[in-house]
Amino acid sequence: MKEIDDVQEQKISEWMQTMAEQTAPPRDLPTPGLLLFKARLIEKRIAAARAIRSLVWMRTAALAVFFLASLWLVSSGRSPLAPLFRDTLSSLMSVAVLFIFGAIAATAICLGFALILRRTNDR
Amino acid sequence: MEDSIFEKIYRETSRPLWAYVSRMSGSATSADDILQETYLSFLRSPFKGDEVKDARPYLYKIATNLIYKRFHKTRHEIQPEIEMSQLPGPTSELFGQSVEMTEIFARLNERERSLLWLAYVDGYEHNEIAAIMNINSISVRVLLFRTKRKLAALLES
Repeated sequence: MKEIDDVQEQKISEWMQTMAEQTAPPRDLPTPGLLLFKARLIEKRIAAARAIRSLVWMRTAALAVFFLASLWLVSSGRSPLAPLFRDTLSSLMSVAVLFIFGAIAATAICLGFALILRRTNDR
Repeated sequence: MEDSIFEKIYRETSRPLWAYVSRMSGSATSADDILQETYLSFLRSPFKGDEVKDARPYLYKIATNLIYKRFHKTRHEIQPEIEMSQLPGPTSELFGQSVEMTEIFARLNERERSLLWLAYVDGYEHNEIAAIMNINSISVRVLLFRTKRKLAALLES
């Protein structure tokens, strides 16, 4: 195995130093103030996204609880509102196919838009 | 982190870090982006120190990871020659003949370039280089030896 002697070691060191000295930013770098501003902006965006995410979860949970409670009220028949719920549910069931179709169509449209936006951003 | 501490760290580390990133990525434009990303990650990191000497290797580690991630994400090896023309192209008479430093440096792979730069330009010890590059310190010694031998051969040829 070929060893590195002291002369070569010295030359490599000088060569690297010369290159480093001649590698400087061609223009002014961003100021620390700008980076601090950007970092705070990112923090705010992350916090907002986190808050929205938790709101969406809460809304979904509330809807689920409402739906289950409604089912219970209708099935048990204990509530004075039971006939009203039963009527409403039966009305909804009659147009359930339309609701399902609408939900699928809305999801497909949203996904399509998301895909287009992503492709545009990638470009 | 207090603004004044960050400003102090930034002023003392940004230019040498830019030089490192630009030589590793081979592009002045990428160096600008990676430098900003590095400091933004640093500001969001749990780093609590207030000394430049503590922050410096941490910043180099973030930058090195970003460089590798940026280029390996697209499954491309770093190709420094592509935009190296944007960087200063110094020549050297150290080996008795004019040598285009940039071209020679570009013939090394990104790990070899990192090793040489961290060891010779920034003067890091083997254990510090190991921490920055996520490898063990014994490997650093072996890899650095091989890289020096490769560079010496390149310079002599």
